[in-house]
Amino acid sequence: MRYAITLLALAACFVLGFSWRDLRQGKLPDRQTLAAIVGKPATAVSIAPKEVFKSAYDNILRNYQGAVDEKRLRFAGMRGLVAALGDPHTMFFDPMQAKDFAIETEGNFVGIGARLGPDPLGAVAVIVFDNGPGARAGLRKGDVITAVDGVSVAGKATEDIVKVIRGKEATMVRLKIIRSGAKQPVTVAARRARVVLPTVETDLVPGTKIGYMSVSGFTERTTEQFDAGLDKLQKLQAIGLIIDLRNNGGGLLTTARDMLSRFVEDKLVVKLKRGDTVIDEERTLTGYKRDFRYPVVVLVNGQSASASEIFAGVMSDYKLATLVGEHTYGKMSVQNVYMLVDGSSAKVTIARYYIPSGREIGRKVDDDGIYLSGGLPPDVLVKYRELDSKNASKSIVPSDSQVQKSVEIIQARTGEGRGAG
Amino acid sequence: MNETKKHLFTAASVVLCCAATIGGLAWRNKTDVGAANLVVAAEANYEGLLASTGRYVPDESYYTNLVKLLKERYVESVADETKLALGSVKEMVLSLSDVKSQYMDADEFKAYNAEMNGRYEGIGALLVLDVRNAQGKQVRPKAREGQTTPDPGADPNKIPVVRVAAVTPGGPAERAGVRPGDWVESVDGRYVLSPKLWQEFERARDIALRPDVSSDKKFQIREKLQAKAESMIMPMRAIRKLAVGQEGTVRVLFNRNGTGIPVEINKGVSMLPAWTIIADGTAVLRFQPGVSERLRDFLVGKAKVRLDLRQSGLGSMAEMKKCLALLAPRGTYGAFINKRTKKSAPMVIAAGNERPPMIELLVDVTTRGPAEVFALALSSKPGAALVTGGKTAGESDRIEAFPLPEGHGYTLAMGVYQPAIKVAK
Repeated sequence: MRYAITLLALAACFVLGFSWRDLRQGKLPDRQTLAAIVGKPATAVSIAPKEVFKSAYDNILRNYQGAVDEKRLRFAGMRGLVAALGDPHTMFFDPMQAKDFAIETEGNFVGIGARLGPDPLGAVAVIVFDNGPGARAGLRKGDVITAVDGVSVAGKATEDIVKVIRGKEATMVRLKIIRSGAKQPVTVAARRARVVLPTVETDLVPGTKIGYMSVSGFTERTTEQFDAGLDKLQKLQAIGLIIDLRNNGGGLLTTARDMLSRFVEDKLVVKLKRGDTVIDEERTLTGYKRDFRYPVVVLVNGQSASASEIFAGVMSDYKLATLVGEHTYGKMSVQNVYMLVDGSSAKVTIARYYIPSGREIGRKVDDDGIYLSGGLPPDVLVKYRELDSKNASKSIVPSDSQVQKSVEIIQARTGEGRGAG
Repeated sequence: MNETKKHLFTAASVVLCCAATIGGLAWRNKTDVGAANLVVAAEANYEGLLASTGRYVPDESYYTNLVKLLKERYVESVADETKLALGSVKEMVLSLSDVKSQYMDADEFKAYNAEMNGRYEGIGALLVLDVRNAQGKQVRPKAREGQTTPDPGADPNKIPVVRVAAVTPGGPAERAGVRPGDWVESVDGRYVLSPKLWQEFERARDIALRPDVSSDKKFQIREKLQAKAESMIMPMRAIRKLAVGQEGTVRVLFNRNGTGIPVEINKGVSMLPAWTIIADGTAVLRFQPGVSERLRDFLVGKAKVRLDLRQSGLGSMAEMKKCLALLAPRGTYGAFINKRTKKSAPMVIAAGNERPPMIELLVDVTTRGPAEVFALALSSKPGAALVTGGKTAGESDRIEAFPLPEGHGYTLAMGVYQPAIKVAK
């Protein structure tokens, strides 16, 4: 009898030791774990997801015959993991991509102060920012950059050329330039400086008193640039306003809210929902409203997204502007960026936004990623068409069918150009 | 005395109980399932992953913590972790940028395994990815480089092209006039990037930059190409549309030597048989599981055999080795070399045929994979076989398939076959 009790006690102690870990966490060991006592291997009916990743990772590193790098492979794995959620706006950035992305939203970087476009001989300076290092060193709009620091850049992708031109503050960069009219290539030596990307550019539409503002992003600096633009137009006594949000992929929600506050006070901008729960609301601020007594047109196209859609949608919902152009992208979500310990970051959709009218504008695509539906529809649909114009290179105002229609709409309302009425 | 015994016994029991408890702990450590859970529990929130902590996070926990971050922050509930894990594998395989290493979802993997056994869904054709340069010439990338770029258009010298490597006899594709060597321009109006399309884009770009061309003309060209560019699909997508599914119709624009061939094909099921004997006694041999038995019977009493290895389709290296052992004496027949790890896996026939018949092999550019290795192996030993026809495909990699949960899977190119002696032909 004594032996039986002892054996029982021994068994109990063994089980106690085995389960100690789980008991400390306040739970009983699960079935799988208990199976291990008997010696059954802990192979579950399904493989643990982490094992799926790990064994493929190990297999590739061990056996693949081509070029493969451990770090890059892990980054790819994390990228795929996040992408599997199926949300095009939730993504994993490796350290290099994380840095590039931060620059984009920050709105400034260290470079020469020019916006470059593709050119078969290198890159063409589409815009040269006033007072930037490039302008001061003699770079002009239309110049074609063919070499950077003695290295030819012909045939390279524009974004790669931009990367070599950007660099450490106060360092020099030498650009070989081809300029129409100049017989020999010109060398421009610029000292890199912190450049604040102007996201707002303002002027009057040539031949009219209608103001035109192109807003190319919603960064931390955009609101102040927007206000400066409105001041400039006020001085010029503009009688109408075109806000061009075409190809503006969005940015900070707070910037859009601040800009809307110039048009309307203390009204709902968006409701933010996580699932079905309203987690937050943005309202326009009080005290920033300007006195607009003229018609406003907001230009949008298929690449206008996120903060652009919020701005345009709210202006439209409150009947503060006419939307002209083509339907917008259809991104109705808010992301948070989480910086990770190794320099990577994860941009995660944390909520979906709903504009005041509550309209569903989420983008839907088919299996191949081709657009099916979604986006804000314009009030006046105009397909994009470039128009030949003599003023094309001198003014920031583009010469196209959508701008032309906007001018017509404003003129019809104000009677401008048809004599006093 | 009894008292002492009793005390001793009690003492011993206590000691044994402690030992048992420790034993239980130790056993748990050894077998643990639970250890992983404990690691997770210790980093129960994802905060350890965030930059603010600055702590080193080992790879194991990185995955776990990233998943936790998503579970706690993503706008919708993240229930299906297996889907996330499969996504990670897919992107890892894609990052290899290798036409020979592919990730397949359940339908694609099922179709792949069926093709291994000679059974073809879809249009009844083996479709492979070729790497071409912008002029259309096949490119064989160096060992250090990735084999193609994931972003079509990013490198005009490495454009993946979808090519027909075999058609099932009497199958939908063959009946529609499709032949090996044809390549795919578009499927149901969706264009696949090809050297031809690349050149179109280049020409348009050149015209767009010329100041002497009117903006109307530029707009026209742009519109035409815009439609094509917006509807472009990746090569694997095109393959999926053609090789997966047994019902429905597809409109395909094939290209043969510069001529566009539009066809409409009803999908179905057809076979690429492992073994066929044609009128003149030639055996058409494909290395599908079990074919070595047919070969063995065929060889009985024959002094001379002629084997047709064209349109070889997919095959099994293991089955090919069995067939090789029936036709060649024991020995080492080259090796599979992994150019990156420098590991070499020799192909050894332990028990072969010491008195093989005279062998003639019929090959051409559709002879690939195990069939190509077979031909190379036999032709590397002088006198072992007469090889006629043409040059083989140049695709003698050892490609293995690895299954994943939910019926998915991926292939991995693990080495290239090097015959023992280079054959001057």
